[in-house]
Amino acid sequence: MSAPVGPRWAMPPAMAVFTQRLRAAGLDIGSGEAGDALRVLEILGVQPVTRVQAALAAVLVRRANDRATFDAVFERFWFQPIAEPAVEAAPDDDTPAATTRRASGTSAPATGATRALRAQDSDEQEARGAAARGPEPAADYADLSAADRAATRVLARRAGQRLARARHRRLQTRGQQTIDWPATLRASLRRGGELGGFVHARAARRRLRLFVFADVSHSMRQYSALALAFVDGLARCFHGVDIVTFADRAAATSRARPVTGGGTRIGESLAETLARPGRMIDRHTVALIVSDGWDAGDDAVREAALGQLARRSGALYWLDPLADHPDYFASAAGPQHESPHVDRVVAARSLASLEAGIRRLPKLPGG
Amino acid sequence: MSMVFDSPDTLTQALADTGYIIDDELATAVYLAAALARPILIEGPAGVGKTAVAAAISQAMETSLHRLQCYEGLDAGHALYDWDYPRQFMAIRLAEAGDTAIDENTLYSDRYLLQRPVLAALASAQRAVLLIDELDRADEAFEALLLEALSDWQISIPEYGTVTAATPPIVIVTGNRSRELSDALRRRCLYAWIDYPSAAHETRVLKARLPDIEHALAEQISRFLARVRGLDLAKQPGLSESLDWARAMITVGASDLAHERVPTTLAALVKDPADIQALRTHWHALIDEPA
Repeated sequence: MSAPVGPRWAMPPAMAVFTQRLRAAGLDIGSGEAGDALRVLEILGVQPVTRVQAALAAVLVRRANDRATFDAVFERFWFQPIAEPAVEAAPDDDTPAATTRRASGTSAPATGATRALRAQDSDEQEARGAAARGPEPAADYADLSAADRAATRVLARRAGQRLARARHRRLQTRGQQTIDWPATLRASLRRGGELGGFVHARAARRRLRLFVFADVSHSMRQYSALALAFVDGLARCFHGVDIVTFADRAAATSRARPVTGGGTRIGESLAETLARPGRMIDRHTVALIVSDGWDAGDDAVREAALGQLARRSGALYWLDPLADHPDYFASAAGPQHESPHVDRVVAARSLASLEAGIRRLPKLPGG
Repeated sequence: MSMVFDSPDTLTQALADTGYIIDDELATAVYLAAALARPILIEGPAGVGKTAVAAAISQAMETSLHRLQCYEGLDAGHALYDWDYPRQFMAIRLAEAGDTAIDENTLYSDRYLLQRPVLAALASAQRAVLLIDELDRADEAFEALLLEALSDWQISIPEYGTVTAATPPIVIVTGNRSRELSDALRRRCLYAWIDYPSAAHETRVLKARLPDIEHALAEQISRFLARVRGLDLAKQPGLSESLDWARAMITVGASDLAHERVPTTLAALVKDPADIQALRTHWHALIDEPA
């Protein structure tokens, strides 16, 4: 490795500090992974830096999303430039680069990546602080600070997990007659080899898919962040997630993306979506409409589309960010409240209302 | 444990000999997985070569590839091992007919043990390659089932005993991130992410996999796909679709993208009607070659 390593530095302490830095940046690294990192360096021997970086990433990174953080920490830890003289390195800066700087009387300027990481660190610390104290439970999401939004996203994911485990309409497993061969054989042996009948296994509960139909029209703009954080929480719990965004028409996509344009036509957009081939919605699918209910479309078309979605899916929920807003009377009379096809309207103006709505969902036994 | 490959470079060359072009980062990760005897979890979009890398490794090592295609409801009986119940029942009946005692040790012996891919890979005399494909399609409970095999290289069979691998297989676990895999599994694996290839890498792959392709056409296709992947499509074409499309173009006799029949081959590249329409809409901008 060609990184500048100071005289009092041996590789194991450096690696220990490096893994500490990664942990501080949010990567989940155990002692086993840190040991693997050392073994990797032993196995590889002297190699180009990019290869060492790739090798350490292979053992220290567990998710693709963590790779950018790893790369930034790696660069800052091992390769901070030592050319420009400036303020002496901080005494508690124990990176190899800092040690070398102290020995040579130089200091590291902030590179673009370093500055970005510092800004990110600052944001993350702010978010962590907010997460620790939690957002104001009854606060309107539209009024939350950036830090509280980050904390809200974390809590929204927890709420999403609860929804994924709820006992939904039409999702009860049917009594399937799967033969439990080991149990049948054991029963047979107990009878001296006499086959007295088959022992049937109880079918496992099938994991559910999620279909999200998300309103991204102008009136939903300030709530879409919470809605997407909520859906992100759900995505980790469901077997597959299909997201369609809509405003005046549907944008078929498996990834959430904004569609500009005013005038919400829920029914027409939903009917268009359901008519497209290849969209898997069955009784093992939980359908979730995210909308404030503003609708400029035809009522009959909307009801027909909602009915079709309700019949095809296992459960149909409506996430309404304005449902419990004290001044939003129009929403209270919106289609989500009138339609017999919607199993439940879940208010999502604030985290408190979202959690309360989720708590009202029927729970699985022991869930 | 003996090293299968001497270095990432030898692995890169060995896979190149099989027609699989691997980038240095993935080669390093795979090399380390083999050297450390650890599974490697490879994630990335569909069609970028996650599954193919396992086949290429087994081909390079001249060893068997045991493939486990995961799906919802997959269980130990289909992934690890099972007993041959019909034959066991037949043995019981024959013993009854012959008025002899039923020996349970015989009943639960190798003779009636069906090796599924994981057990077959562990029990293999030579170092095998085990591909656990699209693990995110299986249930979380199945992930837990795999932990013993992937960390201790052994499978405990209550009626039989513990089967331990003499030589741990090279295990490639793939996923498309359709759901989050557990931390317990991730902790046991090395990790690599394969993204869509760069234009230069894609050209190399096309040349390696399709020796008949003109170099200029391979470059054109690669540049075209780099632009296509910048579009907002329902499903971005991967490397496998790129190869299919190149084969289609060779089949219709197209030597460059301006050939009149090329638009008719788009179904080999994208599989969504809206995406095909999007490519036709942007066609001239996509094939427009800079001077």
